[in-house]
Amino acid sequence: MFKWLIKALNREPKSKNIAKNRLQLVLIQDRVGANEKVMESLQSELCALLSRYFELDPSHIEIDLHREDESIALIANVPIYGFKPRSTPKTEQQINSQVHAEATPQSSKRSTASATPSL
Amino acid sequence: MGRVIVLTSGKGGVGKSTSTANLGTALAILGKKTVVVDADVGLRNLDIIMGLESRVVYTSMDVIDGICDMAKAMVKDRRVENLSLLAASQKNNKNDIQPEQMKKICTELKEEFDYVLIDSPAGIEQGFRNAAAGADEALIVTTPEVAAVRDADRIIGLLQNMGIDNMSLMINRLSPQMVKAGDMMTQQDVIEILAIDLLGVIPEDTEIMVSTNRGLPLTQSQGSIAGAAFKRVAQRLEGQEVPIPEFKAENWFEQLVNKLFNWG
Repeated sequence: MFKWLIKALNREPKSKNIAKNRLQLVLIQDRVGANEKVMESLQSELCALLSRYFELDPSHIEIDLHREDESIALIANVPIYGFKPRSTPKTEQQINSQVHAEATPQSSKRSTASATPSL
Repeated sequence: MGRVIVLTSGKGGVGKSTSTANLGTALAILGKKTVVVDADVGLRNLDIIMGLESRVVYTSMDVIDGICDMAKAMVKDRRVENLSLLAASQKNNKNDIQPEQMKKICTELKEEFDYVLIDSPAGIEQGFRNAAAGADEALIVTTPEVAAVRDADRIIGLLQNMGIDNMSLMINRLSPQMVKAGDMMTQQDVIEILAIDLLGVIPEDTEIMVSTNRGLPLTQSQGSIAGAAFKRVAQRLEGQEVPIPEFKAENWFEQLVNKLFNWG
């Protein structure tokens, strides 16, 4: 009786939910890995954004997905060479158009949807 | 002009050939001229699942090599009107056929048939690429298991890259008992992960084994739950609005009744 009570209180998650979570995580990596352009376009957009504030060398940016037990982290390693405090910031519109020009939209409907996993 | 549909999955053993045989039979019974094409060169299986293994003389390879014409290579199913099989060569391998040759075969077949169902081999290599080369649409077959769903996702990505955007999903071997116990992903879980349209769900059914043992696709006869599910998939392919039922686990009483009825 006591054993049953402990078991009922410490109920393990249903195995189908574990399966679903594991799949959702592994598919983020699979989909990104299978689609090199996603990382390329992320890198160029990130670079455009960061270079508003810092001096940096785009060729030294490293972006990778890092899998922890129950989550995936996007790790970006961006060496910077200087801060740009005095340069006049561009207007929002100019920056937007610059970002769009550098990042060629290529990802399909499906892969954009998959970029927002429910974690 | 007919429809060329490739049944593919990435992972092996999820039921591509069984699904091709049953769906082809169901479409033929609906009155549609149907040909099932085995694209698994070197590991030919569709013929034995359909019970036509003793009647195969020529294969798609012979058509490609010009040894015989298409009409001669076709095996007509004598039990079901409108149904034919184009077998795969057993002595060649997957690299002996080129996508262009497969395309040519499909173009020729869809002139004559309403449905051309292509049974793809497992994997993502040449065999899969050949199978998909001539297809206008794809039916992704998966089971509610992590490995099968993961491979299905990969296949969906590859088909998109090949320009096949018309894709739908068939979930095979769903066990209502295990779903009820929370130990199998539901059809909603699988669709949520793969994000493509669901064409049908085939429940787990021991009758499938019996029917492949006998070489009689289940859809040829009445009374099995998987056979009925395949028939509904065929109707949906035909554009009929047939709802996908929620398969319910049997309670102890229904189990008992079924056992008693299946005894004889």
